[in-house]
Amino acid sequence: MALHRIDLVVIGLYFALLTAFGLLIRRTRGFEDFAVARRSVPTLMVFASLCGAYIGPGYSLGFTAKAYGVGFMLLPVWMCFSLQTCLVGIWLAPRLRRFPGVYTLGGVMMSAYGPTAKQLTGLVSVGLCVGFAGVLARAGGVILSDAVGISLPIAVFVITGVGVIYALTGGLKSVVATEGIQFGVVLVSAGAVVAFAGRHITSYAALDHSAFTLTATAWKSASGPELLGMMLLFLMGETLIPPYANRALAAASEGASKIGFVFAGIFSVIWFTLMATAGVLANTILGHVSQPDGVLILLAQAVLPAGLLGLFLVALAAIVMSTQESLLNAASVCMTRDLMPASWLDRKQLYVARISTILFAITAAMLGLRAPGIIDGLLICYSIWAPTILPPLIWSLLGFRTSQMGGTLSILGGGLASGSVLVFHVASGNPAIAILAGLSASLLGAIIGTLAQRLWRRA
Amino acid sequence: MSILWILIHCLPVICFVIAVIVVVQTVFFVRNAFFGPTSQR
Repeated sequence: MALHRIDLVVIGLYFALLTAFGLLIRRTRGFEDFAVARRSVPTLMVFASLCGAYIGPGYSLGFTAKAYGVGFMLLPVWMCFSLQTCLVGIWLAPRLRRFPGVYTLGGVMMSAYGPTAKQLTGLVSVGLCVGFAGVLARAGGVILSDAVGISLPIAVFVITGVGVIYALTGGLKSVVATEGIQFGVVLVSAGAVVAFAGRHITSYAALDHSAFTLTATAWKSASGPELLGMMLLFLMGETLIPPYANRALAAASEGASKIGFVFAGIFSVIWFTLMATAGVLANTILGHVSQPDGVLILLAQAVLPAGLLGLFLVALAAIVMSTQESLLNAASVCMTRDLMPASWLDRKQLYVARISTILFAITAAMLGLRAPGIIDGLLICYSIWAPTILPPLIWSLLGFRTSQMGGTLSILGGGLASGSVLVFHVASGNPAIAILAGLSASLLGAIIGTLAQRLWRRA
Repeated sequence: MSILWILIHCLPVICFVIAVIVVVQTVFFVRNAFFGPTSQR
């Protein structure tokens, strides 16, 4: 990609400022500060950091590429994520704040199902976060190497390295603060792409017609079960994954957590519509494109003036980094709290969390060099998380009676069933089938475990 | 009126307004969390 000198200056300046900002806000007062920002994050920052965390390459580049081919057809499917985020905000996120002294979902599971469930949750959380961070490292590396012409391995390590600086030093508080800035940059530049693309439209009636034709054609060729499967994935796949749960735990109050999540859900409707609009505009302005995955970048190149294009590329890096740093922070906190002895002193926990952040960042960067495509990678993560952790977690958060053996077998059953579908390629490794199989096994595990525990007690 | 005209003109404005609110809030958050009186040990 040939960039103007102003664009290169903007990119260099942004990375320098971000590094300086990370060093400026590096103060951490103990592990609680590192893990849950002393539970002092206000409503708007819960909203901004949650949006910064969920807007990754999949929800930006990926969605625009889809809309380029199918218009607004998938918008209702994507909105299942919006619905999920709002429902989590109303029913689940505020309840997480009711567990005093709990920093992770493993802690919640510990109070409901005992230590084995806590360790299993910690293991799945760390695996999910590091795997997810690896997928993002690759996506970010590809964008950076294309933009400035450096090799992929160097780009992957630069993207991961800058995010680590503040995730390592200031913990969640720094992550939330930088996400606020990054989210602002992302909003301005994504809005600018659509606004400047609008200037290239000569007839809006023709654009409406073209969007309608694109959407209607895709709608006719879509299969019902496939759409339902995708809806299930968007409804459950990312529900309360560790970085989102961290925001709920770090909120200043139950109200801040609730409103932050609901606002983030409502905002996602605006964001998805913006990305779909960008895809439709790309279809009209660019015509046929050989690699639709990068259609948002191509559209930006075609419509943005020098300077703003640099800001847009920076925003793409920000999209990756803000999600990645959240994941690394969540992984290190889960590692320290769920998989290490609870009796460790605060200072030791902080030390372990920081060391874990570095180790996980290196692992994510290494994984990034071998990771599958962004969508494939994310779907694997989703189809493991939803059936493994969600059923017992939601059950306990809603206040139903729990059984230690039921919870543990539910996690094991869900994980083994969904993992088997993916590993042995049952039903072509369809993620929706993996989730359904996992949910069924999880339910079965919960019933068998609960009954077994009752019989054990009677005996 | 064209639906896409509305989307193309309204969505960027909404994004810009939210961006300004978020950045201002972030500045206050950083001030309180890292440099305010409650940030001292």
